[in-house]
Amino acid sequence: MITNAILIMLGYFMGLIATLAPIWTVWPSGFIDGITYFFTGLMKFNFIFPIDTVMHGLNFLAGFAALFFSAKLLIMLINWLRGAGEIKI
Amino acid sequence: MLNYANYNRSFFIIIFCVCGLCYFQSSALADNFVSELEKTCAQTCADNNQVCKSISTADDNTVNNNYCTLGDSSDTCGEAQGDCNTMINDEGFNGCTYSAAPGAERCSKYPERQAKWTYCNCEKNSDFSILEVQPIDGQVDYMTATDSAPYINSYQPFENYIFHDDNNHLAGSWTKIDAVLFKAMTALAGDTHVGVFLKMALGNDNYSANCDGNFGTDWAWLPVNEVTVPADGVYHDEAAFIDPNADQCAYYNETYFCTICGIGFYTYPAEGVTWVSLGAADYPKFQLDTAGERVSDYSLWFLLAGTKNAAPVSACNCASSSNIVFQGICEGFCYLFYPTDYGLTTFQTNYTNLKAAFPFNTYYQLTDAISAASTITDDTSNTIGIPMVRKVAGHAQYFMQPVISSSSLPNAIGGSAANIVRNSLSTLIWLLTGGIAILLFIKF
Repeated sequence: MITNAILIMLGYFMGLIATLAPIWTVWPSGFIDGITYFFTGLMKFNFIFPIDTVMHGLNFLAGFAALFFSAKLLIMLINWLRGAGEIKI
Repeated sequence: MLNYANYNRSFFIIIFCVCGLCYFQSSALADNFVSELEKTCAQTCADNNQVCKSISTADDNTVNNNYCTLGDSSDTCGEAQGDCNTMINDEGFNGCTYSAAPGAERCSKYPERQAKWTYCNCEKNSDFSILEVQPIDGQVDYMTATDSAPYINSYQPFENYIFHDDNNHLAGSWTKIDAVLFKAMTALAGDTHVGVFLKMALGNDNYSANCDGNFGTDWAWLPVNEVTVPADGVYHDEAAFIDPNADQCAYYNETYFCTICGIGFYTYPAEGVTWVSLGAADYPKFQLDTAGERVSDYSLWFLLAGTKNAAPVSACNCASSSNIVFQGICEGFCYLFYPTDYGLTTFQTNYTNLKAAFPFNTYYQLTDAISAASTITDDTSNTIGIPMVRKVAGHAQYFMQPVISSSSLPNAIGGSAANIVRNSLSTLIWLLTGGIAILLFIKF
């Protein structure tokens, strides 16, 4: 029940954000397909080098960078709002 | 000012290292080249105290993929249903013949009426673990969980699935196990999940299984005597054949259907039933009411293939506990903390929608594309070849000469050392990844 309530509340909150967020796509579909094909081709060398680990590492780095810079931006924004800092570009 | 002495020394060291690397690489390549030519599959496997087997992965049933296993190479058709159907090529085993004629049943083994199956919707190439097998009333727990899996190893003309058993628990015999790790693989591009089936002996009512990397536990009881195919499943309607006179028939809406072994699959819709058109509330259900009725593995495959995209089923089950205190705690814990399917589905759906919304899709589209690529072709069976020419029947023939394959490194340094090398490389990659993350943190 407790886990359920948390999951459902989080789910509805994410659903609300997803509903409000615009349906834009930065990457053209051809670019995404190209990335998939490229890495699929690259994975053929997995038998001689752990390409799958490289993929996981890339995913980890991308996730880390996204979270890290998002957090920095958020903190910068909060500091600017309370007058304790400035937004540098 | 440029120091020419240091420059020359550095240049020399670089040239030396490059030449040395080329020498060792070429030596290793030549050794592997020779060993690849000289060793047969049997010899290669014998080096690791294993035996060579072949598996059919092509539409035309030709054996084109050899692999080593600790299992018994003398498996014959009928002893192991899965072997029979995995190794389609007649050269792969003795005593197994196929016929396309309706009603010809060769090589089929029929599970007992009350045998129990479980199903796991594993991500492709994910590890599949049987975490626990709990005895009931002191009975010994036996299960078989490999080649008897009907969906993976049954013959499918256009879909070839490989069920790789890391622990070499082979099919056929009922094996007592505590825990076992499998790897679900598939050769079907674009298919992201593989159905993994386990067959339990009678007397086993409680066990748990898990697909690593999947969303929650994703398993369900699928007893033979009542099998329901969810409406959102993927139906394979080419695998059934109706023959009311055959004794391996299952029962569906007063209509018998049967299946046959091997290449003689017949289309069920030819008998007037179109499975894919069934509505959400009209699940096809099979009921075996009469003692002695049996359903063949192929029937099960036919049925259970539809559960490939089934929704997760709750696995919190405390009913089998004989300790009332433990059962109370268990049920209380389940009530408080175990999420329902609705909670999981709600979270999962909204999370998926959030990932697809801007600006989150900017990140997730890239990572999903990379993940999709890694799951589509996460295999280690490729070969690098060089173009060569040879004289055949008076004319020149160009062909690709294999130079490095997945067996080259194990042949050169042994299977265990090759695994150590690969694991070490993976560790180095993760160390490098961690270093880059730390640098990002420090520099920015």
